[in-house]
Amino acid sequence: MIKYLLNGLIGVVFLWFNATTGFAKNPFQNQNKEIDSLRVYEVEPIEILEKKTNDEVKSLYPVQKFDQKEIEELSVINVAEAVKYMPGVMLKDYGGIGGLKTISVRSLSASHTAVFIDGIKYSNTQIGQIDLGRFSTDRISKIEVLSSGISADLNLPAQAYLTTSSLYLQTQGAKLSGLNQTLTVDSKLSFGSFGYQKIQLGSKWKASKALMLSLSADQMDAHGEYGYYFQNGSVLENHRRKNTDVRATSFESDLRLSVSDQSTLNVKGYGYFSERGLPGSKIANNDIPSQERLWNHDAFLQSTWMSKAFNTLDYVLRAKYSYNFTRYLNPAHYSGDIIHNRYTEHEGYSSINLNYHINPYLSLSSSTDLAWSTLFSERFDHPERLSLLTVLAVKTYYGDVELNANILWSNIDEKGFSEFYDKAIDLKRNDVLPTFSLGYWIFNELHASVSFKKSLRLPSFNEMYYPTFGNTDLRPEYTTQYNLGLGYQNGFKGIIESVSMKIDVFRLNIRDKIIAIPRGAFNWSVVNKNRVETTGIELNGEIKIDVNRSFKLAVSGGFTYQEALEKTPSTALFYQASTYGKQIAYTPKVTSSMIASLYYDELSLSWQMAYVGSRYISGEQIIQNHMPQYSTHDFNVIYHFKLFSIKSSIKGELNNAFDKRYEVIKNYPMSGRSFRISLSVHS
Amino acid sequence: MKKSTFAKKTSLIGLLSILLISTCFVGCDDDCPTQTECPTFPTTRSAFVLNEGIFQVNNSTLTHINLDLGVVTQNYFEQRIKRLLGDTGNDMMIVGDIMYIVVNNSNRLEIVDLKTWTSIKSIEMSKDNVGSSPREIIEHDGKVFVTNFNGYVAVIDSVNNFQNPIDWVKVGTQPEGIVSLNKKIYVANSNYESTTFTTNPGSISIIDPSTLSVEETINNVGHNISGLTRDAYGDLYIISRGNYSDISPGLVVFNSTSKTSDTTFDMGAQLIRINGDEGFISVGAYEPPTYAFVAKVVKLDVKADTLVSDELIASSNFQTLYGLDIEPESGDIYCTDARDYSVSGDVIVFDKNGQKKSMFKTGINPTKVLFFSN
Repeated sequence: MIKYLLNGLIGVVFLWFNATTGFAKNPFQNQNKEIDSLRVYEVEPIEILEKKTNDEVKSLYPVQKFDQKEIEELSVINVAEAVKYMPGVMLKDYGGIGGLKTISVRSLSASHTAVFIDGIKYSNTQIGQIDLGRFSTDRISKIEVLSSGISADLNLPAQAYLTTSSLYLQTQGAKLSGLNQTLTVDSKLSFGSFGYQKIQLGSKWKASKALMLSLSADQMDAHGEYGYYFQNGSVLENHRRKNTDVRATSFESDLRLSVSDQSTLNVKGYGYFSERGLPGSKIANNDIPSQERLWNHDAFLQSTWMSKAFNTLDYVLRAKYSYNFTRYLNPAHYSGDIIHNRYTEHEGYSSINLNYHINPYLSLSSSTDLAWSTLFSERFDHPERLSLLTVLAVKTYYGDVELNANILWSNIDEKGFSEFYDKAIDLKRNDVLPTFSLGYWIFNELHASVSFKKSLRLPSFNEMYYPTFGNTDLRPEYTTQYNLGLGYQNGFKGIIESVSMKIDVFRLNIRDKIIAIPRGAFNWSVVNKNRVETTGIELNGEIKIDVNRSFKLAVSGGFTYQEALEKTPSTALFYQASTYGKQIAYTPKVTSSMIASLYYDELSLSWQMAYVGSRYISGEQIIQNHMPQYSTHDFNVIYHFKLFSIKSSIKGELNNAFDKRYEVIKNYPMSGRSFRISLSVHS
Repeated sequence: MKKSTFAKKTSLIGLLSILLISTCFVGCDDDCPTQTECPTFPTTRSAFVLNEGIFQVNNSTLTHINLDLGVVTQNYFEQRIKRLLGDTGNDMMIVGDIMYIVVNNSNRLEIVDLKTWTSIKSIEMSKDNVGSSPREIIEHDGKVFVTNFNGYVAVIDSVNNFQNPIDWVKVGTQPEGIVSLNKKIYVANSNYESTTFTTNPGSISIIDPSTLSVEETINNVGHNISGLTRDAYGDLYIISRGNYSDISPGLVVFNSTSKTSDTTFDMGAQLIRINGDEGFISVGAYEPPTYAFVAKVVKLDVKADTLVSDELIASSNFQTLYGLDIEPESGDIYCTDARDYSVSGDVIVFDKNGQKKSMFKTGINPTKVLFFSN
């Protein structure tokens, strides 16, 4: 039925249908047969803001996402806390508002997940991973986790093809949500447990039809302290996290210039300035509080130019400069010295992406990225990395089949100083990494896909050059992944508005895994060692119920089962006899989550549950290494109202409602029950 | 007298077996695989193995081996004292019936009565409210001397039940090894963690224990010196770890009377233990790019300072040779194997001729073995 309807519908009607009913076949397959029997009208593109299509279900590569409305309904303040509700994602949380938060996608270390902000990678070459706790959800309009690093979109930068998985953050930018508004002002005030307070101000201005500008700033403070229990043998001790204060200021400014219908320039400036205490891990029988502090000054300026040269050729130009300054201070180091380190990283980046649509069935694309990064610090001898990545991609449709194939050439040129060999080194790493995927519409509501990807993660500057720790002989860590996906989505006319489901079965092989090993009691280094083989399944489902016009219900849930097994061959040095075939450290076999939302007129109520199964802190599965399973429940209520004709909302949150005491990382206790309240106004 | 001791012992055993059974009921969870065995009372000869665990994981433990029965008990400190040993136990010693354990990252000195297995005192090792990072310990003339990475030797008087405040003696940078010789205390300042450690070789401080002051500092006796041992002939054996770069490790023999280094063995010495005239040295190296540690045990005649055997125990016996101790009566050599540094290790026992005798499971990163009889 839908198939026949589709045949006659083009343009707006198709767009609308796709948006409301959800899932449609690709537009090209049937279009060609019918195109001469219908007249084609050129219509202005319109945007549908409210209804959501579930692209995850019919994606060629595994995709999970939250749109702005879904993010607003979560009891979260940063991106890290939001993505833990996605199947396959495990949040590595060191606890507290200022504690480091990174993610592990499909059992991989955080370094395998690249973070993209509006399509451009946000990198940290020194550490190789990004603290996601720093990204507030306030200005985010979409969060996507791409477990294979890419989607089937052709206009991705080449960097996306290099990485094993990616986290895409789409910011709200300068685009105004209302069509007739020329100036909007918004503000948000939040207060909560741990002395949390945040004020945020923003404004968007439509200077002309072509030019839109926005500016926002926020300031966050918290003392971050909380009480926790520590099981010291038979004694249950009561302690309090100290030296946990955080203060962060951030600025964001956007410019959007629509030169024509075909060409748009987006420029984004970003600044983040923070100071925090580092409480460290809980050390048994040690009540001496940490005095370590950390400052971060991060800024970037990036721009994206998207344009259509001809009907068949469009292109994207990207450029970025970023600056990351880190300062670490330990005034009470045991050596009696004051440890004071500063690190300044600069990065320049440019990218050209060309997409050539030969015909509705076949598109070719190329992306070339050139990135340069360097680090200045008294601890380093000025390492430099220049990477040239080129990807060629082809995307084709034929009948019910969709095919996407890419090949990436990665050329990394690195200069640094090897302490061990006491000489300057000049490294060249060349790799060729293919990606392939095939999609098939079994019937209109059911889509199957299979994909394959090779990727790598480069050693960070710390792993390569940090004094006494770095190892300049390190090779990249390689991954090969396979994914089988089956997605179902259907819309209905009755009480049940829509149902969607997705099953992904995946396999991930890692070789030359980079791990830290000691060479003396306090002297650690990094080597390429392990092999890990992960096999898993992710289930994701959503149901939306419209009881009547004012009463709606949405429930979504995710479930992951994965076996991430250590498989270092017995011929390798450091053969881990006792951990061979065992689940790797900090990787639960089972994780699951559930989000239930209830809407009644201007009131919404949300309940979020996250479950993390039992796991071990090492491959050795003994009781001392065991960490029990836990689940947390967060509740929030949002009420939308008009305050002197200004759109306003008030949100109250009850987080970890049942006061579950748990740890994600051993000896980094998490907080118990907490509250937060926020008021937003938007004119 | 003998009878009463026996009676006391049997009652204790009875009490302990009740404790043992109840521990089993409480501790043996079906859901979680466990390696902990239940406690047994040391009847005669015991070996204690100090396991460092993993830094910041609070899993430093003590393994107890009943040498008569061959029974191993893991987490012995926790089972007996009812709290965790803490984070990164670096050194221990037994003086009389008292065991001292230096727990580095917990900044604690645990003092335990081995007869009753009760904690005599747990001393916080901090100076001006900053943890001192204690490393190694010796006893001399009723006083306990602990080296600390903060650049001080802590002196604790065992009289008055350890209640007196700590005396701090300023030495060099990152002191590690400590030994008493000819009524002086010798301290190896490794200069280990300093940013200048590749160029600054470290030194030896000589403390006069009666005045608690450094009376002399000796330079140029090795690079990144860590372990110190003495023999009965006034020689000091210094482990020089090199700088992990162009300066290779070695063993320096230092004459305490002439204050000169007579002999240097150019080998990757990690540890030296001396029992009478016999010296046993673990020799190995971390080789890039894998940093695999290949190590063997060699034997030294400490009187003549000559090598007796350059491979008493072959490297094929170990994955990662970590600790080395000698049982003084039998001369048995107790080697600890840290495996991959993240899993439970082993103690491998060899007789004095290097023949393998037995093997016991330990905790993570077993570093030191001590012996006790009662």
